[in-house]
Amino acid sequence: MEVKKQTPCLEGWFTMPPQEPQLIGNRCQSCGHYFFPRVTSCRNPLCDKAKPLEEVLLSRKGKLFAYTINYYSPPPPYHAPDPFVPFGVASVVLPEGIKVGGQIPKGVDLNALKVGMEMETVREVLYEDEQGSEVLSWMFRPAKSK
Amino acid sequence: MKKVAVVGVGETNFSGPQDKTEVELFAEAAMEAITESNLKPEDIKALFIGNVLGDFSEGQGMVQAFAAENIGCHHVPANKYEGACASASMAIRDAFIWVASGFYDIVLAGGVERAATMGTGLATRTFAMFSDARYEYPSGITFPAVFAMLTHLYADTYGIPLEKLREQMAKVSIQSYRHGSVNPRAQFFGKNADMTVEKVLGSFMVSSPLTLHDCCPFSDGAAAVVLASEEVAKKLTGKPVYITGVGQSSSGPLCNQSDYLPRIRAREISSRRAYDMAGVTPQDIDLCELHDCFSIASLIAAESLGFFEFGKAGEAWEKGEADIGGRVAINPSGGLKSKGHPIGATGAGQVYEVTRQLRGEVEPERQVEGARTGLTDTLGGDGGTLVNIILQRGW
Repeated sequence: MEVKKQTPCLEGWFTMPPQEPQLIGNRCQSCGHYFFPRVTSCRNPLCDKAKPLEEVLLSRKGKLFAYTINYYSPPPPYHAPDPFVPFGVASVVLPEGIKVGGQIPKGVDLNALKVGMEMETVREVLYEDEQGSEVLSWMFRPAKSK
Repeated sequence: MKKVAVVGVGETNFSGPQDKTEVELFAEAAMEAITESNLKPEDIKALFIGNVLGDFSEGQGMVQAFAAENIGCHHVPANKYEGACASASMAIRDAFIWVASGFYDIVLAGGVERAATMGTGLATRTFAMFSDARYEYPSGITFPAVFAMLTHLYADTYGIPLEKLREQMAKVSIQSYRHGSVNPRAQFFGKNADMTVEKVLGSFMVSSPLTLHDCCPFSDGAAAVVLASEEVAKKLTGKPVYITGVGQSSSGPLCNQSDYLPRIRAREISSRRAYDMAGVTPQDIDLCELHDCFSIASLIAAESLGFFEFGKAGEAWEKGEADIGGRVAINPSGGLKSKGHPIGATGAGQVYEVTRQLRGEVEPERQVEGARTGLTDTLGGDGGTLVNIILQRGW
């Protein structure tokens, strides 16, 4: 079986196989604020920035904050399949207190989405590039029951 | 600080694709404003112009310099402002500050855009550049998706069933279509006056639950205003409209604003600054041209501007409280939804409308009788730039 090469859509934004899918953020060691995407300087206006930022893996699970189903094809650089298939996008609030946007993978029942439901971070193929590599992105799907 | 007046306004028709260049379009609006001010181009000391995508739409950069020369404002300082859809409002606010400071006594400000000429493909692509370029738009989170998510969030936050909210939003679009249908400058002049809730809900779904009729169009157009110090204004016109308050505020990417959503924090700060500066409250506002890029955006804006309680704006529209004759007349021009949204010119179009309303000069069907105080509200990107301007009758 041919194994396709996999590349992240954004280098260093999330873990790659064989690691569990997790977003990579950072945390200010002075004031404790978390950031995603990572920042190079703490954004808290009240922070003395005495200590550096540290890289952290963010919680895999969070709650659905807001969502929609896109019925039209977004423009490039979004890679839309041909023919276009409507897809879900979500904003998920993580226990670290930050919200992250991402797609909802194919196969999820979009009519069953409800604000506040538990979501988990997954990693899915966004599209295949010209070299035949699978370009991966983080996405959010309703969490499987424990 | 000097008092600053609007002494003349001008505007092209807001429209679909048309053949004039941005320099030519702006000239049409600018000369109307200069002529109305009883001035000549040589009297203008500086030009501040909003323009967002001129380089993409017609390959023309630095439009401000060519626009100045083209109307006979030779060798004046000409500045371009880019704050996505709030560009022209930024230009007018800065023009106000320069005149108020006494550095210039007469400044021409405005904006121009050919978003419709670009076509939906290029316009959608380039508009998306004003959300966070790192991951919002590569993920397919475009502006309709952002406002669609805000719709779900709004329904959830205020406990309004989504179907009920969708009907309220449809009524926002219906009101805007009705006013735009009798505004000869509007893109949908003479159109859509018979819009119904059923037609809005049944039209093409863009990003659920937003349909085509919940979204504003792409537009071409230009608008311009002449600002002058009080002493100059008194010599030029018997009907000076004073800018008595301005506010501007900014935010980072939408995901970083999320603690406050569906409210837009930058708008609350910006409008508060404008109210405080003018010494007025939301209760004093007779009419407001606000940023209804999507129907839900009208509800969010009207609440943040202090007209209605949070979660109650939809009811206000249903009861006619946001209409002419209601508590505050919102978008009597037809707003972005029906008048149109040439992004770099939109804020100047709002000042054009409010000024003519305060002078009592618009079509009788959409005139707010006895209006003394008006407010404009423009939002650039997904909350990145907010500008508010308060205008009051000076006679």
